[in-house]
Amino acid sequence: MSDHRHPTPPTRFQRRLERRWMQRHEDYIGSVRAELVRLLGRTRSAFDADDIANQVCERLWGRIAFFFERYPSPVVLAAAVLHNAVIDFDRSQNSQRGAGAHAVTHADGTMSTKRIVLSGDAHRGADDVAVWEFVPTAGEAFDEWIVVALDAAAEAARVLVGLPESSCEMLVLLAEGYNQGEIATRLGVTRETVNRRVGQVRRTVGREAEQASPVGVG
Amino acid sequence: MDSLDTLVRMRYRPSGDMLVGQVEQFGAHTGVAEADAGGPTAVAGEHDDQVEQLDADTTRSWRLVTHGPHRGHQVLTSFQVVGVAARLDTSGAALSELLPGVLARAATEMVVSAAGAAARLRGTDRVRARAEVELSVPFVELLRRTDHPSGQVRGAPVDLADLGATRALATALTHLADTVQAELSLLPSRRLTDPGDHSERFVDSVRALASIVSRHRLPAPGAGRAAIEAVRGGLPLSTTERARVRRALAELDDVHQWREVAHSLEVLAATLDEQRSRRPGRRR
Repeated sequence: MSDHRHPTPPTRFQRRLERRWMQRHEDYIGSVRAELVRLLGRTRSAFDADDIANQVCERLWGRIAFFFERYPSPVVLAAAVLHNAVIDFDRSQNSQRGAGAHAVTHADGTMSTKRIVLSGDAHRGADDVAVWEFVPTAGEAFDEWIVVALDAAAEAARVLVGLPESSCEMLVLLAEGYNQGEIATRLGVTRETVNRRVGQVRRTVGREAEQASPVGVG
Repeated sequence: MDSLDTLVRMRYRPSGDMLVGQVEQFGAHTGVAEADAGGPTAVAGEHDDQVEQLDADTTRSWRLVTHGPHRGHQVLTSFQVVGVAARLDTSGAALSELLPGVLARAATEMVVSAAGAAARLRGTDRVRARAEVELSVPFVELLRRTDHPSGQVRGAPVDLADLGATRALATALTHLADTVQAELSLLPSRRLTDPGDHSERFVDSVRALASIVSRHRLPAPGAGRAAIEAVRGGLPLSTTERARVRRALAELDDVHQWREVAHSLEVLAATLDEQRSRRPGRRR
């Protein structure tokens, strides 16, 4: 005999709590979107920046509770997904223009072209995941992008610890895209000083990486 | 569209409270669309756009007019403004200082009506919501006018805040958010489900502001206004403390004030910590 009982309806308290979480998640996505547009504003057209940000936000929204819990800072998350989001967007744009044909080597050594990037228009499943998207979507691989990028950010932060403030400033400006001449002008030092300091940091980091390497030498 | 007009498209996203706009097409007789053909008004190629970053939240692009009666002038080609509705709430003149009058008026109308309509949307609908408007604007309206606030040159590249001041400010903002968060954890959970309570929104927006200043080393007036908007009655702060926080957040628009603001916020957060530690029966 089938069970005709209905689940207990949520209490007023539960409904309000749910609405509250929804609002926080919406604010979180809004912050991710805003930060992506800030980061893209200097290099991409206004609508490209908005489209890229929207693509990312729709993916994140599919698993918003997970991302909200795991990455408390929407600003850090936005920076972490930025690079791959841009590549993904450009690929989808190129594919829509007919690009994306790649050479494939077969087992017998012959080569042929194969289109590996398709338009991404077809969708399936509850998560609305594009069937033909080449770059991974809202599944594990999308999480992996973020983990790799956050690891890189943590490594960069680790490198800065213990350095003199002037060297930190140079590295931060370098990471922000300024060239060594521009950094020298901005900080009022010679270009050679910038080169020397950056070189010193690179050597230090290189030595540390060598010592930390699990692979024995010789 | 008149042959001397320019087609401009603007888009507003309630999620992120963000306005973007760009020129889609210059009129045939402005000569801009066919710059190389040397029409009566020609503008340098796309890659010659000068990106002007006014602050972390506001960017405009200008292109140089190379031929015709407006030769030597700059014409607006695109813009983006983050935190636009929040800025309109605190200052009605916000957009007219950033955009040519005709665009500012149309954008304000669109943002106000879209933000109102989006307030009823939840979840996926809200994330996807957008409003768009396309309008035909006389070419001359988009020329940079240095005698008007929207065209004044603010200096490029903009001054980045001093690294030490940036770190101090980010630390102070995070400290304040942590302190208010700790206070909130002592409140009964029923209080936090009150739809009129903005305490968590305040904590989240102050934390986001700390990350933004730390990353960009520039003022973020949109994010700052959003944080100011969340300073409301539900917060575990006295009226005087709320006024101090509002004042401090408003001063963040000037990077030269960051050290002082950081100091002021640190003092406030430390005072709140001390008050909480003295309170009898506090929870850990």
